[in-house]
This record gives sequence, structure tokens and C-alpha cells, in this order.
Amino acid sequence: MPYGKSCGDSAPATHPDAPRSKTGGRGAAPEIVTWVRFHVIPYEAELRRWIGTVYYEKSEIDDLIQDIYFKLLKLDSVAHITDPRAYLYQAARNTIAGRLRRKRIVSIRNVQDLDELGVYDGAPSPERVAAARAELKWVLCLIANLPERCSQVMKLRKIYGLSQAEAASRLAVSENIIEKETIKGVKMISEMAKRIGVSSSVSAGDTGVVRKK
Amino acid sequence: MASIDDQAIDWVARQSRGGLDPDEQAAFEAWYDGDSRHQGAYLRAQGLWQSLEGVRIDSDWLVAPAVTPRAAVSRRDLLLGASGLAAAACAGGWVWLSRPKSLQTRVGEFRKVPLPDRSVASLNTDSHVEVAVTHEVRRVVLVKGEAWFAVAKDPKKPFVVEVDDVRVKAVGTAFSVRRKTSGVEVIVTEGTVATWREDLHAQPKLIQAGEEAFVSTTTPAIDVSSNAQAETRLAWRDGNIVLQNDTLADAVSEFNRYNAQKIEVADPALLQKRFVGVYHVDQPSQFARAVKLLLNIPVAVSPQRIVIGGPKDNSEINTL
Repeated sequence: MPYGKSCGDSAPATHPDAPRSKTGGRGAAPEIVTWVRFHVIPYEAELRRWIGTVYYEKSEIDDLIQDIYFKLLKLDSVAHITDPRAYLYQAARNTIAGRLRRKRIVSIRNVQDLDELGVYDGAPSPERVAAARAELKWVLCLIANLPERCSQVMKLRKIYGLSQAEAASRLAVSENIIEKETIKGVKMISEMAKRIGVSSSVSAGDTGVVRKK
Repeated sequence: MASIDDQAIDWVARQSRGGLDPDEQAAFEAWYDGDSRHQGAYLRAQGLWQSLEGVRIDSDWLVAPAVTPRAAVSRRDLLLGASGLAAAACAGGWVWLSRPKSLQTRVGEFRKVPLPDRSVASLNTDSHVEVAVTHEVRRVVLVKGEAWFAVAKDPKKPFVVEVDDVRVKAVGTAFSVRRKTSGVEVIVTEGTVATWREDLHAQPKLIQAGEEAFVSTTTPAIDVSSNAQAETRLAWRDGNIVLQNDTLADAVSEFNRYNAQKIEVADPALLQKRFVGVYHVDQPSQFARAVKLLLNIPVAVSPQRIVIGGPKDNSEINTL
């Protein structure tokens, strides 16, 4: 299955809005951001559920996830990663192991069995064959789940590609409102991405919006 | 105090709006450098932002965004107007709102595509549709395979699927159409559709939600029957094959629709055995393993094929 390759046909290699120069040399290489976009974020919900089954300090899961992204950030390249899922779970395993080592005292309930960390038994989803399409479908699903106005703004801006000014005139509101709704929408999608992954975002309603199962 | 993830999104949003001024830049750097979790969250926010920025439907589909149109005319409307005129000239009276659009999937691929009228088409494996939206009609030609449509309501503009001479017309509903060798299978999950054959002068047949129809292309018959298992039959939309007392023969042909690794049954006596279960469409070996366990028969797997009921060539294959 041309999993690793398939995102190339629709993925922009770089993104004009997030060049490193604007961030003062901080942030990841565009290649890493794009990889994270297709291979990590849509699977974050699933990863969180898996971590939840092996790591009992629920309050630390957000930190763990950020640590995992931090590890990915430090990569020089992702070209060598042939199996993104295996790589992601290995990174998660290392992060958990590192955290447990730092804690020194490990509650016996912290981890069911440290060996178990290495075993991820989830069946690959069929969408794997086309990461880019899976990601598109997932994002559309999340956008459709936003509150009405927010969803409209996100559709106009992000799906139909209207500028802030164009979206404002379409909806007869100020550009300021469009900007606020956009940021609100991204934040809500950020939260949804923690619970709803690619595999749970299927089925469509009769108005062309996609709703979660 | 906003969460770290929200703080990261705020920074990415501000940077996408334009350069930061020196004070903001210093504040950003202090925030970024202060905590590795901030850096991780920042990467995540960049990925999310790109993901949302990257969702684009081809520009020639930008017909009617799903909101109340305003008087303001965008660049895109003007562009569409120009191409629409050109299309009208060659289409003899039809005014094309968008150029016919070809959507295709390869074996094992699924694709869910929002259409310009807010309908959604889900294409099953190895399928091909052509979509054209005009002022009068939304027209979809199913060239190959199977597709399920969730049709946006628009009484003024019927949604018609064409398979050769067979027509399936909906106003606002959800249904699937599958091209088969001797006809067309239609499954309705919501609302009502009308189906008929363009080459015959017969009344259209109405098919309600929960019914399926088989429109023969060899005889004039349109068979309508109730289908309690519509959702099961459309399980492919979730990437599943659901077997409900189906024969091995049917199950094998279903798996083989989706996979290059074909299942073969060496012993014809097994073909009428029946199975129940939910399987991933892209996991024929998972199904084969279940068959092996249930029937206690040998199953051999190679990258190209799975042979149920006895390996014939041991050099090529590994026993499960």
C-alpha cells in the first residue's frame, strides 16, 4: 500500500503561513509540520486512548502528548520513517518510559506492564491506504461538528478558500468577527482532535455535513 | 489561563496574520524557549493550522458555498461566470456551473468527496463517477463501481445518477448505486428516489428508505424489495465488511473487490459454508484466519493470494 507516498499528491510541501523565518528560527521544518499533520494529529485521539490504557496518571496525559510532539519536533527529517504509526507508538513508548524513569518511584499501578508498552495491537484502518484523503475527511467531519456560525466561517475560509475579507462580506459581518471565529474554530478542533480520531469520523447526514457516529 | 495548546494556537494565528512586532517576537521566543511542552504544542498547532488551511476543494467547484449568498461578488464568481459562458456555448443551452468533475478510486481505496451543492459522494473501491452541476440538474454518471450519496435538499434541482440507460433521481435523500454486470443496484437509506430506464417508456419506480431495487439492463424488470440490512450492505463506508450468514463464495468475492491480495477457495465444497462477523475490508488475512479456526482447514497466505482449503504450492506460501 503506498501509504507513505499517497499524501504527496495533495499535501503542500511547505506552508506559506508558517515559515520558520517568521518564527525566529523556532518551530519545526515544514516537512515535519506536514508529516505531523497527516500522520500524527488525525491519530492523536487513538494514541491518547492507548496511553490511557497503559499509563494511569490521567492528569499527565496532556504533558505526555506535548512531549511526544516535542520529540518529533527535534527530528531532522522524516524521510526515513516508512511506518508512521509504528514510529509514533515507539516515540510514545520512549516518552512514557523516560517519564517513569524520571519519577524514580513508580506506582505499581502506573503501568500495567512495562513490556506491554511495546505492543500496540490496533488493526490498521482502511484509510491508511490514503492518508491525505483520510485526513481531509476527518477535518471536514470536525468542521461540520462546530457550532453553526463557527462552522460556516471555517468552511468559507478553509474549505472554499475565501480570504478573511471575502468571508466577512459573504456573511455580512466584520473581518474582526471572522478572525475571532476562525481562532475559536481552530481551538475547538484542537480539543476535538483529542477525542475524535480518523477511525471514529465516518458517516454523513443528509445535508452534506458529516457527523460523528 | 489558557491551556498550552490554546496558547500555541494563538501564536500560530498571530504569525499567520503577518509578522510579529519586536515586542511580540520577544514574547513569543520567551514563551517558546521556556518549556519543551510549549514547543511540542507549537508543532501540533502548526500542523492543525496547516490541516485546516490545506482543506481545499478544487477551485472549479466553488459554486455555492453553504451560506446565504450576498450581493458582493468574489473573484471566483467572476471567474466561474466566464468559464460558465464558455461551457454554455458548447453545451447547447446548458449552463454549467462547474465543469464535469471526475472522481475515481483505486482498488482498496475509499473517498468521501463534498460536492459543490453540499451533497456528499462516498466512493467505494475501484469506482469512477463524473459529476456535473448545472442550473437545472445535478447530474452524476456512475462509470464504474459503487457510490453512496447524501444529497443536499434542493427541490428545484434534482439529483440524478446515470448508469448507462438507468436513471436514479433524488431530491433530498441518501442512497447508493452500484453497477453490476446485468443491472444496477440501488439501496435507499433515507427519503425516496425514483428510478427508471431512459430507453424504455415505463413509469419510474419509487423506492423508499429501507428498500433496495435491482434495475435490470437485460429485462424491463425493476425488482423492489425491502432491505433491513441496508446499513450492513453499506458498511464499506466505515471500511467494514459485515457478514450475516453469508456464504464463503459471497464473502470471498466481497473481499476480492477491495484487495490486490486475492482470496481463492481450493475446495469448492467450502463455498456454501456460511459466516457471520465484521471484518476490515483491507484485512483479508484476518478473515482467512477466522475461516481457518472455524472450519479447521488449512489456509495459506502469500503476498499475492490467500488460499483457503489447502495449499497447492508450498514453495510460495506460508501457512497462517
